[in-house]
Amino acid sequence: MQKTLFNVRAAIQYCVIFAFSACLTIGIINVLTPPKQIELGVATAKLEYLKQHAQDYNIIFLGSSRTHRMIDSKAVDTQLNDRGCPMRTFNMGFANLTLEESDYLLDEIIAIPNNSFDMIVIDEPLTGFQHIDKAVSERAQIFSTWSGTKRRLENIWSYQESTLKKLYRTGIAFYGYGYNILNIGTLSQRLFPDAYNNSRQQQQSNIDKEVSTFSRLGGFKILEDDLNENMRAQKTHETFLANIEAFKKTLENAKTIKIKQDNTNTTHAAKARAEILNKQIEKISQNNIVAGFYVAPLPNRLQANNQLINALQNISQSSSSNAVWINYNTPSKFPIIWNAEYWFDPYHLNREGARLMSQDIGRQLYQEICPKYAHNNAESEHL
Amino acid sequence: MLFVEPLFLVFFAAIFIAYWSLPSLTARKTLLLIGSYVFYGAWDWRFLGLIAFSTLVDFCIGKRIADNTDKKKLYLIISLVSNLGLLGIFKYFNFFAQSAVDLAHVFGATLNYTTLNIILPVGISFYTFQTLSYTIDIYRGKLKPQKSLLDFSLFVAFFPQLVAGPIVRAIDFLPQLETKRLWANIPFKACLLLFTIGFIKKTVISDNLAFTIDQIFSNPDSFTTLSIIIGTLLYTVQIYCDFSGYTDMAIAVAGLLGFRLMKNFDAPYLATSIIDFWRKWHISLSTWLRDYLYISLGGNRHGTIKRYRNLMLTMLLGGLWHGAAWTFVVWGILHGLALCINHLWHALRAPRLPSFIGWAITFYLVSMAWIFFRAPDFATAFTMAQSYMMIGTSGTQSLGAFYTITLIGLFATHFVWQKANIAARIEALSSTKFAIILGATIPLILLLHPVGYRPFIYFQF
Repeated sequence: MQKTLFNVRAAIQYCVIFAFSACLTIGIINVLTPPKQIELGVATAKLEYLKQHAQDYNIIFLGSSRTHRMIDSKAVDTQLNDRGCPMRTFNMGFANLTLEESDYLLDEIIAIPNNSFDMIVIDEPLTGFQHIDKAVSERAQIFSTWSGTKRRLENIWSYQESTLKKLYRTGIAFYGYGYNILNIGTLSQRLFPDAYNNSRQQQQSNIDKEVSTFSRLGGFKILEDDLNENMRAQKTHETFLANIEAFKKTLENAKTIKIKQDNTNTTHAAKARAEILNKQIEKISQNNIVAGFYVAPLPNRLQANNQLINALQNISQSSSSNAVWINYNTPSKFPIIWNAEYWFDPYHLNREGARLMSQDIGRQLYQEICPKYAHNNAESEHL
Repeated sequence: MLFVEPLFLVFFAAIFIAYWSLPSLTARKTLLLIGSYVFYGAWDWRFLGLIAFSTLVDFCIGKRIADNTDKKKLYLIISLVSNLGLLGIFKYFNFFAQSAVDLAHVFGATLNYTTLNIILPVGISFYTFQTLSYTIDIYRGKLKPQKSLLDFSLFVAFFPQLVAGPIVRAIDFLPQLETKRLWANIPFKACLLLFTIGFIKKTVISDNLAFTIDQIFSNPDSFTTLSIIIGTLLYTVQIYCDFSGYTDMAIAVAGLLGFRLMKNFDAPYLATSIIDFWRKWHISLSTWLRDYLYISLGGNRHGTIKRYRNLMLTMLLGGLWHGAAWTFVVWGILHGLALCINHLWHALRAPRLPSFIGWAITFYLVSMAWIFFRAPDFATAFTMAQSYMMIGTSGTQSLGAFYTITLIGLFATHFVWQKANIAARIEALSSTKFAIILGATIPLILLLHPVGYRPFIYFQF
């Protein structure tokens, strides 16, 4: 090896030259690379299905796995239909839905022509991918763009958690940007497509299986049905069962916690987050669709989520974008599901829990939506 | 934590900055030792105790061997038993137990044993050989025992080469710990170039070919004869790029910290005989086997027959060192036979073959032997080998012309790279030109980096 004498100053100089050369190459690559197509697996399949059946559905639930795995569309519909309200619900839930994805899907749903949507219910999207592998996934790369940076950072920094976690999430987000800008693996996928196509085929076969249930289940998929394919769900469930006693205590404690409902107690973070989410509520309202905000039962975020919904209600009232609040993160609202037997893991209800909660949602929606529905129908008949 | 993962780059950047910022030699060595344990612990912290145990045992035994000349053989045996015992339990217990059951079954007897659910600690084969070389060298009077436990611990656990070599000898490495490494002596360009080359070999070549090779070896019956030949040659490329890629990066990383590790590969696929091949392939292992096993067995000192017996035994055990499976043993035997024939050829003073013929025969034998190295079982290996010799039946699935072109391109690059000494030419460029080329190359390499990370093949050994 040839020995080269370096001093620190020279090293910095060569680092700058290196960085300039790298940036130039990256720039050229980005100019030559076609933009990525938005492909969100099951969510894209659901969106396509909804576009084709826009006339068939009136209530759309858009949210993360707490929507996907817990809003039993058929149970909601049964409650509405049995009371003479002929509405149908579609579950647009998608695991780990981020704010960028939620914004995109909401825009797409609202823009569907000739739809019969009376109500769109959103839930709180996640703050982004937690693991480094997920941050560089094909899915994450789609929205790893500089134009969305401000909203992504707002999303991360408004979430009520420790600064260290926020810093970590910010780091992960920027790592995702870097990965995306470098177009890592794009040429490999073209030259050696076998491995890529193989994993794509496996994913597609899972998506196809789920698509076949859309008309029957309205986009809902219970976690129990995934146990054979979803190793993560399996592991979480096993851990949950092993620690069920501790979870029972958590639920009991949750019932005794006095939730601070006083508006003055809402934190600055809750307000900031409410501002972000209110933009979605406003967008829905502006399109003459009733907006709903759903909060899933989540014992470990009892205080934070209720502060958020308080702040959101305040902002929503002041901006006159009235929304329907479907808050199940207060044990007093529907106490029965605060029993461990109705849970699949600490974050999701099981089949029976989801059914019971969805029935209750159906009853609430009947009161909130159906009179308006009947009123609107009467108005149009009168006109 | 793999060398090609961003996490490693972050880890190494932190170590690099801290290492060169520390003024004292002891502080630097302590940092490297802690860093090495963190690096190993990131894979599985439970096995840190195993390394620490091996380190302590050989550190103490080394002193005992030097202090007790009359009992030095006993202490050497203790070292061999403890090191090889650990290796035997963690790597070979299930293999030998299952083999005993199978053998008994052949003779109509029934044996029962309980399979141990053992995880193979990554790098155990490598650091065991390193610590063994230390005690054997002290026993042979070639090395004085190390006084500093810190230095010895770092020799055993030095993270750049801990998990897959090159197998460092105490006699080469420990003196490097005695003096402070100098920033001014770091061959930056050579190290950065070597790391980049290693990265290309691993991610661009080995990892991109891996899926196709896995498909062929998992179901050879469905592929055409030509596809199996191409698949075998692709694996020949993959194993070289994967392993030499790792060692290139290990040497480069060590070099950036001021340490010099031995060259482990020297264009082995350009070898013109099997003897030549073993002088160029996994040099740190082949020389270890020669110095500590072949010579210990008697080497070529006790006549022709014993010489070939020793050669066969060395290669057989060398095969078994790679993995606890009979396919590795057969791989070792094939190489042992080839070496015996090669030595016999020389002994009989047979005419020297033209280089091209020698190269073709060597390459064919080496690539054929790789089938046994890679195949999950003998049935697969025989199917593949038959097709490779064009005597077997074959399926209909074809790999396509792209892989043939890729293969030709890779061999041509390998040949030209060596013959035209391109690495040295790049190193000779001015630092400004070097920085420009590196800056432009890395984003291009990343375009070819497949999604996800595959562990290095040699991590399983």
